[in-house]
Amino acid sequence: MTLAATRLTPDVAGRLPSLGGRVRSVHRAAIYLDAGSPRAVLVVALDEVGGVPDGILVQGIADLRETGIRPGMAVVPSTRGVSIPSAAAEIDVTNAISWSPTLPPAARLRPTPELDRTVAVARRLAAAHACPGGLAPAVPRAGREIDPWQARAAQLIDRQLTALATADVATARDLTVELIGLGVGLTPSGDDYLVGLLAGLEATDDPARLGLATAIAAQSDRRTTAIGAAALRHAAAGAFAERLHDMLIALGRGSLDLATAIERTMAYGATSGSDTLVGLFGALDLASARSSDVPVVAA
Amino acid sequence: MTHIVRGAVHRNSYRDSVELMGIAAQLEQLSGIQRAGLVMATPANLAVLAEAGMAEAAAGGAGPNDLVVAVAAIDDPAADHALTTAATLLAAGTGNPDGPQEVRTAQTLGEGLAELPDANLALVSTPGTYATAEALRALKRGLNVFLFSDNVPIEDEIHLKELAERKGILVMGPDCGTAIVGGVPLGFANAVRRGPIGLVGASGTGLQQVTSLIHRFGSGVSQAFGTGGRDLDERVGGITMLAATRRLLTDPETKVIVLISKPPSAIVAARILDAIRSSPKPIVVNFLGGDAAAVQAVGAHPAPTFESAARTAVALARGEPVVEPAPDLTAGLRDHEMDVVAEAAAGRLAPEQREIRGLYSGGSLAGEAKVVLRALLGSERHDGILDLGDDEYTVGRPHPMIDPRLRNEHIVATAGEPAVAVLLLDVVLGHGSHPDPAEALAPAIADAMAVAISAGRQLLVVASVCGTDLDPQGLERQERILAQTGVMLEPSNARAAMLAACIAAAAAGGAAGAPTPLVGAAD
Repeated sequence: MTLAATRLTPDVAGRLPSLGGRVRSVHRAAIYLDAGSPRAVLVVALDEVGGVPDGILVQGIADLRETGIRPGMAVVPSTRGVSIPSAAAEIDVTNAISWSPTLPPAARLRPTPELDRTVAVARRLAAAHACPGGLAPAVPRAGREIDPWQARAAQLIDRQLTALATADVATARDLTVELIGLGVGLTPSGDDYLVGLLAGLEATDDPARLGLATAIAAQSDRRTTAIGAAALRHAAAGAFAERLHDMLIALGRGSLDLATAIERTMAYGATSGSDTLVGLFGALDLASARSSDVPVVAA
Repeated sequence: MTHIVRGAVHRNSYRDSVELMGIAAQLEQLSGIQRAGLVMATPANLAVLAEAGMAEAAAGGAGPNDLVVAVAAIDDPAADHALTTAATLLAAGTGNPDGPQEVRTAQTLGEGLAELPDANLALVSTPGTYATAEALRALKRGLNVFLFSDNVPIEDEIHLKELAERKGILVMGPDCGTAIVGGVPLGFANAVRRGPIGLVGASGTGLQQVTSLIHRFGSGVSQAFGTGGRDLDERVGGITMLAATRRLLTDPETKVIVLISKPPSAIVAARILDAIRSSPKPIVVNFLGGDAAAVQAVGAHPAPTFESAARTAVALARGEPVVEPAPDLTAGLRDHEMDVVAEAAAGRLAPEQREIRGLYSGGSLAGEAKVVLRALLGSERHDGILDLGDDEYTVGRPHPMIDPRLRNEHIVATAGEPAVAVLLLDVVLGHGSHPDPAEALAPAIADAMAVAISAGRQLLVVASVCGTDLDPQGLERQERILAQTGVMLEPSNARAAMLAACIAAAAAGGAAGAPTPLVGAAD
């Protein structure tokens, strides 16, 4: 079986000729490959997923589990891209175009009352779609059944956002590190939250971004899963999935495609999408609060 | 209580959070298990495990890419059983070739067909975004499709149905809630005996009501095909209703055919009636608000309500004479006894109580109630009939036939409205519905009555149960619980709506005026 690639990120294109590794996991819409170094992860995803850092998008199939590709199979370079010989599968990148995970200008936001209103609408839409088990809403409601990991994450997030709001970057950094790898799932909820937070901080050019990104980049490899660590490393470097670009653009425009963007973001993973939005909205709230601070003028 | 903590580590195992939480929930249901958790063994997660007193679950050593199953149990056998169960569920979830084959679940259509090569129907219930692709794959393999998913664009529906038409197979749906195919219930369906009556319905709870009543009247169902609510839209053109009707016409088990729909497009209704003109088998047509004369003109039998559709079909199946419905449906639903009951009930109401509130879980049943109320009371009123299963109310929450909480909130809130005299409800039984809906509804009804009484009023509650004695919830038990709560029960939705209308008419000042003709009145 040959899977035709439609898009790939520039760094992936450069690494393909020397790529070697194994299949880590196979899902309906994405296959994760260990790509060479022990912690590098390459993502092969359906075109409908949209661009992802270190990713190759493919078309012509609705369910990647039907490729016959299974965890543990070897991945090797081929003349047209990359192949998994045990499954007789090849990913042909010869006609794929390049896509950049760096946020485009339209995804960079300036806090305004209009943005606040749009975020409030988006939060309501997201809460209505959220499935149980994730972080959304971040602060648990009274009487709601949550697992101890969610409870811990909600507590840390609350304290982290408070620290960021008061410009206590050192405390925020410590709490951020505690969130890495925390929670249930393929990418722990804490990782998804931090990706969303970094996207929001990057989009609003928040001064706290650099400190958090540095701590995350330094700690993620040993504190979370390989897939979670890869997502965090990319986010720390300012690289985000296309669905987050679209989400930020929709928020900036206050447009009618907001609901579509939310639905698309939340469709990713079981709780990953909604956990990411909790972080994104948290960062936008910080930007809003910061912009409304009244400067203190000495008498 | 003392407990022991045990764990198992699954190396390099990646699962999504919902699957892991689902397995944890299943483990916690096992006898002797106090707590269970499945997480990746990251430092942060292990710290939480330690805080929960379950650190030893990962005592064998585990890294961030390993999955830890942790259980707290009352003894070793319970813990062992839970860990074995977790391993089985994990293996089944991935289709891991090393896992136990006997519990492995097919993950794809191809795998399912490998297990059941003679299958001729696929049930698709994915989010709407993916449903078209899955349905197409099934159609291309020659499978009939029951498409439970909603949010499928109408262009996709047309494409799927046209493809099925060319291949001589059926697409039931999208948003198809119910069907009974070869005696197998699909989606929300009632348990009914098999028999000579075949049905095609563009109306989920309408199909459930008619099949249930056919069973209660002593007959049975050969096939019941759902079409999806948009099939009789002009753009779709009734493709599935026409195709399913052709099937029933050639099905040797089917002696009588019933067609059911919410108000259809006039053009499509005409096309369907033309297709059944001079049918060799008797056909009953229940298009809510449809034109009875047009139905009779093609030799079919018009039925203005779901109940009359069931009665007529059973009579035809038995070779008994059929009494065609009178121009107004009150003749078939209302009798002296109902008027006496309504008069007595209306006497308990305060002067300002005049209105009816319907809080429905079934959209077609709500539609039928509107037709009945309008037939007796006219349209110049302030009654309200809500379909709480509509998308407007179900975004992000389960359908009220599964989860009663939303309706219960509405029931109690409605009791606070001084003008409300009658609360009209449906209770839908069958596969897929709440396991004990009357039990779940009764406390809210009692609360609502208490709210009204504390305000110096009586709230009358009228309901019908759509279901049979074979349904898993048990018709008799459900009706008994409701009756004990003070609900006025009727054997069909149409009769329940008629009783509510009679009470409102009596409260408004005596007997109802001249009924509005139902048949021929557009909804």
